[in-house]
Amino acid sequence: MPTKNYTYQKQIKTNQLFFIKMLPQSSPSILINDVEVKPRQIKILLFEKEESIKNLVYQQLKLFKTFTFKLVSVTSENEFKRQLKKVKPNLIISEYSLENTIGKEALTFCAMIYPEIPFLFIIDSLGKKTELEYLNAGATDFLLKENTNKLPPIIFKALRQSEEKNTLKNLKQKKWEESQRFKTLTEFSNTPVLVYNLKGIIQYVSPAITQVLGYSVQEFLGTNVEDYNHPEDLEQRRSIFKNLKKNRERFAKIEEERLLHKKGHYIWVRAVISDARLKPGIEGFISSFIDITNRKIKSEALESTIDLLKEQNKRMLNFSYIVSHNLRSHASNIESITRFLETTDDEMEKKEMLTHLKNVSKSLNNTLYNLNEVVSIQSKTTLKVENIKLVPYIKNILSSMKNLIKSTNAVIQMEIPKNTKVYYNKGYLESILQNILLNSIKYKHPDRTPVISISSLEIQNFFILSITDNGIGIDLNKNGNKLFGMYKTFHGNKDALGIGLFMSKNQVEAMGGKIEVESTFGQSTTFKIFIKR
Amino acid sequence: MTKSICIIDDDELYKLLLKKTILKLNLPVFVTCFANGKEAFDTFLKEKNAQENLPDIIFLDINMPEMDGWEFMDAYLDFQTTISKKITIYIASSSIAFHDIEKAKKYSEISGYIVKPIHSDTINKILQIL
Repeated sequence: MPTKNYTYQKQIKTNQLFFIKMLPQSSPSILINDVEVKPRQIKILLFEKEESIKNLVYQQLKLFKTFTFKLVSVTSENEFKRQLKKVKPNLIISEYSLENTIGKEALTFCAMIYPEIPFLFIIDSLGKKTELEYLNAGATDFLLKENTNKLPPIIFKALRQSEEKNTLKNLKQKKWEESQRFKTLTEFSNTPVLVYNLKGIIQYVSPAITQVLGYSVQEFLGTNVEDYNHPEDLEQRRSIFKNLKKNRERFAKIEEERLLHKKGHYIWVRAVISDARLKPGIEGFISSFIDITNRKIKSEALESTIDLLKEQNKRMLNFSYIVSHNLRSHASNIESITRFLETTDDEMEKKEMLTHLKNVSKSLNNTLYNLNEVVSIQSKTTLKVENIKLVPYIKNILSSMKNLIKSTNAVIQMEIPKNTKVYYNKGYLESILQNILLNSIKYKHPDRTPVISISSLEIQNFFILSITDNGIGIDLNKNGNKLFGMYKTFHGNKDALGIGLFMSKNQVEAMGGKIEVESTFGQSTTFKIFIKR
Repeated sequence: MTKSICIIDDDELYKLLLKKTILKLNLPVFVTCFANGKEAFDTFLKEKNAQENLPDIIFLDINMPEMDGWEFMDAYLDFQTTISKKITIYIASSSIAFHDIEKAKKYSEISGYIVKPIHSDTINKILQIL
């Protein structure tokens, strides 16, 4: 880690500096890494009542000409306390008496407010106390009165030790702050972070998991990450995970997947997995994810709107072809007729042409009427919809067709649950059902009694009404794409207008549904009306 | 030599008017009419061994019940290999849809796309090329 390295280097540099600074032979100004460093002044607070000792210390310090010392001498405890705060010395030298508490109290006071300042005792004799006991009391070192000539090395040792101690303490503090910072980053964030092993067993999870997926940290630990995947997304996750392991890449992204919330529903997330198997302290995979459910819902709504618009556009384009084609065929006939009228002198021919003109205008009128119907279906934005009880409603339609049913001996089977209700426009439903039922009877097989069954099925977003007959069927390969077109007829029936299914399709679509057909040529036909729930 | 023109269309009035237009030209032309592709194709199959009865020119509509113009073309492509008579086919439709015109271009057997109505000048020109 760069931070760690940096601190390390800094530490070395500080030590270096210290030693160079401390060297008695060194010049006042030293260059380290091309930076000029001025040897610092060492401030010493001396707590000593005995003049002779004071002088001895002074003499010793004076021996180092290249260093500057600032020696502050105090003789009372109050003075000591005051100067301690004022001077903030680098080192304290204090007398120590076995008889009274003078030095001890000074040490206690100093340890309380400036524990980092090295504290040296000058003692009369070792007496009963052992060296260890002095050091235990908190002193950095001690010196016997008769050995004051040993003062300089002891000072240096004490200063160096204190400096090292401080550096180490700073390092520890920094490290602690760093780890605390990272811990806070993961624990405080609302993005769940988890660590799991090669098998997917979760070894760490941040508390945000509760916020996003509902589980407590304890519930989540020890479970397998795959347990939360939507079955349909499992394959994707496995293949991404496999690639991450194989390719030795640092990161892998899962653009979107579903995770199981504690309450039983799935939420959409975007996840990042990083391979940290070689990272000490992790030795596994780190994964974090964000909840994208809202975005997903929005984009799905947008997509379905686009689909709807595409469908509408397609219908409009189709309609414009229909309008163009149907109007043009009449227009072309009118053009021919007027040419004849212009060029002929034959009264009989003129009369004939006028008759044709009348017929064209009549069928043009019909076409316009039908097209107008379609426009009114397609442009109705607010259709009256109501709850319709299907069984009695269909029975009512069938009774209006009873003469046709009777004359063909048609058998109608109702397989719809008794209380089934749909929310639909009554007029449209009647027109659609009537149209399909009429077709089922009209295109009955010549060798069979017509049997028509009406059934229902509920799927995700739709209620499907199916009408199956045993009629002549439709060759869907040949006519499938034209079945619902305008003015398309297939059977050569003279009374076929080719408008019924076209209208039905438009009505079903105007209600937000669709109409599908399945057929086995020569055997049966099934029309499926999808009703939006 | 008398040329034979065949009109395949489900619009009765159109057929009647076109036939009248052709006959008014007072040319040695013979006109037959069919209501859809299937009717025409079934008749052609029967005349396979009497190819002189097959038409020289066909005016083919696109939108027809039972067998539309494209289906007729697909059936005709197979039929064509079994006959030696050259038949010139024109699409005659009231559709000005781009996709119909483009589709017609894909058939090398289709000599042209005529947007209805067909004028006498057009018929004259077609007969001259023949």
